[in-house]
Parts: sequence; structure tokens; C-alpha cells
Amino acid sequence: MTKLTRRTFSTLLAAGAAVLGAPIVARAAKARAVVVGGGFGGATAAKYVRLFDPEIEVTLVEPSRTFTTCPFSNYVLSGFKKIEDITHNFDVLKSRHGVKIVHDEAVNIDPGARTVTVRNGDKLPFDRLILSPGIDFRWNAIEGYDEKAADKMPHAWKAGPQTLLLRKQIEAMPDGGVVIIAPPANPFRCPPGPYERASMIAWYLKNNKPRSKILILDAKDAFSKQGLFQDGWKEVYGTMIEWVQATKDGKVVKVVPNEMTVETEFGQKHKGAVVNVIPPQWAPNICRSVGLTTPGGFCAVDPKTFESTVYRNVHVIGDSCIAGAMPKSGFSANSQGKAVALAVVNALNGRTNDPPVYVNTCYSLITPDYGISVTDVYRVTDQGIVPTKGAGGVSPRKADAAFRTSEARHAEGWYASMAQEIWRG
Amino acid sequence: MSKRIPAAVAATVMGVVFGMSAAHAQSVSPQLLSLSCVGCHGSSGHSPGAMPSLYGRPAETVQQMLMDFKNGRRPATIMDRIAKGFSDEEIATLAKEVARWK
Repeated sequence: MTKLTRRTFSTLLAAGAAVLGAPIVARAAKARAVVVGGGFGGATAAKYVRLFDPEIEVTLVEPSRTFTTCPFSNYVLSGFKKIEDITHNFDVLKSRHGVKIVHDEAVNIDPGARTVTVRNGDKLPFDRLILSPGIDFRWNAIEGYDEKAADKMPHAWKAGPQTLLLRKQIEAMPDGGVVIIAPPANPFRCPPGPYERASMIAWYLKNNKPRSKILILDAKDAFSKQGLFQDGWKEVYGTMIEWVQATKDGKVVKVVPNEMTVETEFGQKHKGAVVNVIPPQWAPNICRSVGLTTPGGFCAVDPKTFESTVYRNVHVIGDSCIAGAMPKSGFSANSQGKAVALAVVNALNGRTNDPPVYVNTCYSLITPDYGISVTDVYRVTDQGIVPTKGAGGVSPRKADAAFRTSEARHAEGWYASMAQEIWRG
Repeated sequence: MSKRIPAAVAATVMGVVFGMSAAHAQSVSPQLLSLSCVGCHGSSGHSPGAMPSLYGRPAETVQQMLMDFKNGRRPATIMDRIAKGFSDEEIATLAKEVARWK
């Protein structure tokens, strides 16, 4: 890794920028990149721009001083991980990689002037902007499910306090109670997530409240790794988990948080001891308010560089963008983060960008020792981002316990490796 | 500096001359290829978990392992599915990059 040189701060930088100590001789950066979002996509992109070209100044805009990952948050729900295990900070990004951090919220972008405005009013200039702000929820898309409803019926689809709230509710519920999980239609963050959640809650219930049930009321008719999940549920949990697909009246259209009831499309009402609504999603307001999104709510981008099709010099990665066949996952965001960093560095140096390759691997646990996976290697063709024919796919349907345990250990290994790669190393 | 640069014409010509399939007509950057591995195998191949570390291995070894995964000659839980996603040439390039890791 190239030795870092310190620079004095441009007066244009926001007041919240990290101070590295006594400023030394001023040296103008070759160019400035601003990254919005300190999660899987943004932190990766920020680090790799610095690694590929330390003469490019990188400012990361992230309101929080820590990042709690959604991946593995289901294991906090089931009790075998603690929230501390899945929470990271930005110290290494700052101290080892020289990323400047502004702990504020990006509220506006001026693509012509090439500035990002943060909530305290400061304007951050950029030559290239990489947005990776994740998702926001479409409040009231489900009648009654507004922001306040999440206090009683947590989504826990952004990890942190919501995860702990849902965990508390699961711990407090009586034996014999029903946990309702309501996953949304596609596209949404983490396609296998709700079904891993059902598995992990089932594991807790089986060991602590075995008469309880889980009712998945789905807005879809199929889900990620479905065959594998359903095989595993039957094998391990018997009839504890019931999945109701949309065409069999699974779609939740209304909730009454004070009554802990949900109502489905054809008028059925269900009451839960715990109700986990995972509402429909879209790109956050920073993307929508400046016109980066399509009517579907996510950002259209060039599949080779993730540059917005709306504004030049603005790239969007991770859950906020439309990335063809790539799922909205942490691993995808990390893969895109590296590719966009290379694309941006090449552009800023006037070099041609080679065609990219992207990878996604998603592990899910059915029990702490029973893991399953889906993976794909992606290319850009004239159809956009597509999986490689004859490669990738899901774990085999028939496999022995050793195979499943091996994948569970790999899931742990993936997390340790990726956390190290993004925030800790 | 911010001008959009069109896809490299040279690479396309090369693809036609060498007769590669459309998907692999232009070469992926060797760096990006090897960075495909670090998410699971660790930065510079130093794996903190169950996946094997990859640093310090000769290129030929890495190449052979990936080709064996690709051709079903080596038992795998997931590496067969992943190795099949890369061409033989990419595997050779990737192996050379990985061999540089310390």
C-alpha cells in the first residue's frame, strides 16, 4: 500500500472533517471525490479510490459515527450474535486510508456546480460523486404503516435500534404466540433476508417457545433460495413456519399497529404477538429529490461505470441503483464499490476503463450450523448486467449435514473477511 | 478530465481477431479480477475465517485449483459455481495477480 501524505484541508471542506493532527505543507489534491454513505458500497468505494490513487482526495459523508450491518443482524434476533459484533466505525478508513469523514447528512446535490450540500449548510465540491445511500421506506404504501408504526411493528430493515427492538419483542412474546413477517414485492434490499429471518426466529422459538408459530405473509409468489429454505424449514422446524404467497392472499395491504393486526388483500385479518413488516422500498430522498430516480424509485446507471444516466460525474451504487441482475445485497454493493472506484480513478486520470466483472455471494443460515448460498459472476452485455451462463446458482438441493455446516462456517468467514476488507483493515 | 471515454475500440478489435465470445471480447482489469476474491478470502488473501488464505501461493497452484473447481475435479461447496464464471484466460491472469499477494 502506498504511504499516505497528509494535506492541509481545503477551506471549502465541511467543518466536520476529521482532523489528523498538525497540518503540514499544503499540497493541492489532483482531484476530489465525494462519497455519500458509509455502508458496504460507500465505505468500499471511498477506500478503493484512495488505494488506486492516493493523490485523489476522498470525503465520505455519513451521518452516523458507526455502521451496523443488516447482514448478520438476523443472528442478533436469534440471540447468537450481539449488536456490537456487527457494528463498525470509520477509524481505519480515516487513519490508514486518509479518507476525510463528514458526519452529516447529504441533503442536496448541484450537478452543474458539482457540489453536495450537507444539513449544516456546507457545500462539498467534487470532481466525481459516488452515491451509496442505501434505501428508504415507502411509508404508507401499506395503509397504516407510517414511520411511527415501526415502533410497534418494527421493520428492522435498517440495522441498529430497530434490530434490538424486534429482538426484545421476540424475547417478550409468550410461548404459543404467532410471529408475522410480511416481506415486500421485488425489488427490495436483501432478497433472502426475510426468509433467513424466519429461520433464525424459528431457531430461537424452537429452543425457547416451541409452541409458537411463524406466519410469512408475502407480497410475492416466489422467493430467493426458496427450495432450499423450504426443505430446511421442513427438516428442522417441521410445521412451525407457514409461508402464504400473494396469490393465496399473502399480500398485506393494511396494518393496525395498536391492535397488532394486519389485513391482507382479500380481507383476511391476522393478529401477531410480534409483527415484522418489511415495507416496499426506494432510493433515499437525496437521490429522488434531485431527479436521479426512475418512476420505479431507484437510480438508472451505466452498467459499466455506475455513472448516472441523468447526471454526468455522479455515480450511484448499492441498493439505491438499478444494477440489472445483481441483487440488492451488501456483497453486490462491495463489488460495485471496487468497480466504481476503478472507473472513477481511470476517468480522473484520463485512462480508458476496462470492462468490469461483478460478483455476488449471499449466505443464509437456516440454523447456526446449516448454511445455504447463492452466487453469480456478472458481466455487462447489451442486455445490461447479466449473470454468466453455466456458472453461479444456489447450493445443491441434496447435500449432507457436513456440506451445510461447511457453508455455515463460510458464512461466518465471509462476514469476518468483508468487515475486515471494508471497515477494519 | 470528466469527458466520457467510449469503450476501448482497440479491445473490441482484439476480441474479433482472437475470436473470443462476446462476453469476454475485452479484458477485465487484472486488478478487478483479483479483487473479486478478497470479499471472502480476505484483503491480500489473508483470510480471517473459514475460507483458505491465498497469499504466498504460486500462480500455477492457484490456477490449477481454480481450473479443477471449474471442471468439477475438486470437491466444492461454492467455488465450482464461482470458478465457472471466469474464462480460462481470466483464471490465468487472476492467478498471477493473486501470486503477488504477500
